[in-house]
Amino acid sequence: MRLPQRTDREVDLPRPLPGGHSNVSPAIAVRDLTFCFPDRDLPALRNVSLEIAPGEFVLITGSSGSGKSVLALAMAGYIPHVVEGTLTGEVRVRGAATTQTPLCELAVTISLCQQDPEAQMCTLTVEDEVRFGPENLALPVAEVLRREETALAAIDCLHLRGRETVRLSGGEKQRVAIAAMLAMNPGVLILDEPTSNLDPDAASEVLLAIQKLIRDRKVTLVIIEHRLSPLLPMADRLIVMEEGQIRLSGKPDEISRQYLALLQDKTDLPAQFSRPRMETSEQSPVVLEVRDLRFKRGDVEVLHSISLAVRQGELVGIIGANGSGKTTFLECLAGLNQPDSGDIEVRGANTRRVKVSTIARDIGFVFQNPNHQIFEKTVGEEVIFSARNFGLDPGVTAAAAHRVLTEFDLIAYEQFPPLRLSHGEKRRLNLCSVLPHGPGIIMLDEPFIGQDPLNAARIMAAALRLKNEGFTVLIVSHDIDMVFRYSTRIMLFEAGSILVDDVPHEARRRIRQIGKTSFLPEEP
Amino acid sequence: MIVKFQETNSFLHRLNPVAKFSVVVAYSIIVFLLASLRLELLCIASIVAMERITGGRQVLAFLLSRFVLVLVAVIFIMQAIMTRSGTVLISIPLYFTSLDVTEAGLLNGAVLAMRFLSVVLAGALFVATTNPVDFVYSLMLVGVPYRFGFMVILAMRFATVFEQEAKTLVNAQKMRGLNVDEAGVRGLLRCIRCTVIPLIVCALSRVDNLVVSMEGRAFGSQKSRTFVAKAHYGLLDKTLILASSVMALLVLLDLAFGWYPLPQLLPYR
Repeated sequence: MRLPQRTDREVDLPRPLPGGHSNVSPAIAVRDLTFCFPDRDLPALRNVSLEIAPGEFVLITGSSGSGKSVLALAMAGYIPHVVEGTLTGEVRVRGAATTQTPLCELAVTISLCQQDPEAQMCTLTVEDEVRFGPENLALPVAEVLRREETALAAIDCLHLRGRETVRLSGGEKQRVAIAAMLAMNPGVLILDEPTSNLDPDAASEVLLAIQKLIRDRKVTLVIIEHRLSPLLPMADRLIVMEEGQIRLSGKPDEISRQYLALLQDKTDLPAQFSRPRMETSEQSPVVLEVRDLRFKRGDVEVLHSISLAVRQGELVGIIGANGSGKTTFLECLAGLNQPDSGDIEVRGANTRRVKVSTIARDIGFVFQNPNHQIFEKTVGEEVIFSARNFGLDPGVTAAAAHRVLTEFDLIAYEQFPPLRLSHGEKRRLNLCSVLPHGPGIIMLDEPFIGQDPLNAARIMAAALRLKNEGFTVLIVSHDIDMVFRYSTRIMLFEAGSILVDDVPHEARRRIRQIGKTSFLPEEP
Repeated sequence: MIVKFQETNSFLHRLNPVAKFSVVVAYSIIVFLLASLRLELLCIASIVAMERITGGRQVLAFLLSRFVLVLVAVIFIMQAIMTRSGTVLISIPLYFTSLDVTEAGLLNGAVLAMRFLSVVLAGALFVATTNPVDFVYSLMLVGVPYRFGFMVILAMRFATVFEQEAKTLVNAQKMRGLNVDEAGVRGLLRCIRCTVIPLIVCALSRVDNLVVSMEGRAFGSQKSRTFVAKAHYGLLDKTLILASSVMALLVLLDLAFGWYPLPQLLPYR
């Protein structure tokens, strides 16, 4: 995910002055904007003022719930046209006030591409998806086809024509979603966390597409992102939001330094795992043993001859491209997928011979989407849900639930509806809710997706704490830096096989040796 | 057994979806208005044969599936025992009364069961040989409002997503110790509650994303929209549409004016 730096020679746009002040009329002007959702007491945006010059590339970051996506919705006109709430102040896009301009007119000047490309695709083929906007504008067929060609070419996706959207990879989906927005021919494009769901290779594809966009098109670009490092060299300005306000704004390198310092003040996560691999010795009992595991989906074998043993107290970081078999592997360990051949033993019990609910006593599995694991009306009930299903003593369970809610800083929400928690809080609740019944193994599937650095650090700190208490932790993640920094063992999956399975420094050497450099952490 | 579109290049696949649809509609009207066992059996045999010519095997597999056979048997038995007129063939004594199976009852049951089968199989053949997206686009091109058309396209787009999501939810429940195979109404209700609520939450969040995506691309801003895709109507397609419409109309008119005695069953006289 390392990209060349942007140079002024590559673009023919008026260059904004440092700090975002330009001598030309702004592409977006936000003046004293305050917005409050109907069911909330505190405003999501508070007196935000901001000007973005034509052709400027602005990077926006900040913690989850800081108002970044709300600002994007306001800039693109969805607030107030689609999203209800109380709005004061104004947003002007190329001089037109968003409150006075119909959304369909704004749609040809500003486009917003959302975080999850899967959720925003509304047709079944790549061509239909890219044509969708121009066709809605009732443009002549020739113009629709011209826009389709130009938009796909702009991000090097012409080869995707003829493909079904459902069969695209994560990176391809995101690029097609961007192309679909570009086909509207907007002057301003907003991308909300365009790489958050993607593996390093797919993220690189999208970032290269973004780079091409900056180089080739006269488009004003606003990107909301937590992963700053690949985009910082290309950005003209970095904005940091906090509690609905702009906290920092200015030159990317300078602001990123200040932001990192702010984050470090708030995080109690050690810079490096203090005693790597000391607690896990050859004497620690094996809690997971996999022998020659093969698993098929339909006629296609998706896991090929996997053998390994995981000992108590290990923190295993599992990395690999989307579709390489990481989640399927976790599902096999949990007994949700029965192997076509080979055996899996969880604490000595063969997964073929025991029910999933029995395995679930030993394995706490936190799924990728937090909403998939929320079943109860209150946070307190949610935490004791598993223990109650296992028929554990209510008194002991209640005490355990209280302890984990306190540890994970969720005790204040005990009587709160879990679905109203923020994404980061839901993630912590998911982890809390698999602990009270005392499983020895915790499996986390992509726990850092959509998390700001602070929340990601909180989850990692929790995983480290569990590891230190003797739990075995398996983490599937695309956050290569986080995985390498804190895991005691790294597994690299590729096409259903484990290419590398070793301690971090050795894994790093071997991954470099086989040329999979996108799965290496960034050098400090 | 679920019948799905299977892409090949048979003559049925090449027909315009609207032409095929009009044939299925006319055929269903005619089959419903005529009560001839021989005609129905001929229709069923023709449908199966037509599918074999196109190289497919889904319709026959569907016909022989347990679901269809049970449904056909239920329709036949219900009609056979509910129709009281005609010569009694068998009388089954019950506690309070007796159950008479009559000749007319058997005939009625057979006709209705075969009627159901012939209409359902025609639908299955249509589904197996028609790309659903082409069908919806063809309907929009002949004047069906595009907002309705895209509802169907969105349903198709997200059907697989929700199916996958439902599986994940069941897995998540199992991993939280919920016995999804628990017998009894209570267990079933609990399982449904734990699946439906998260599924609705996920669906609503997708709706929010879709609204932003579609509104942001001016969906619904114009009364009509451009369609790059064009529907092709060959001579055969036009002939089929005309012929099927005329036939259905003639049968309806005949039923109203009684020009020619169409085969009917006693209960319908």
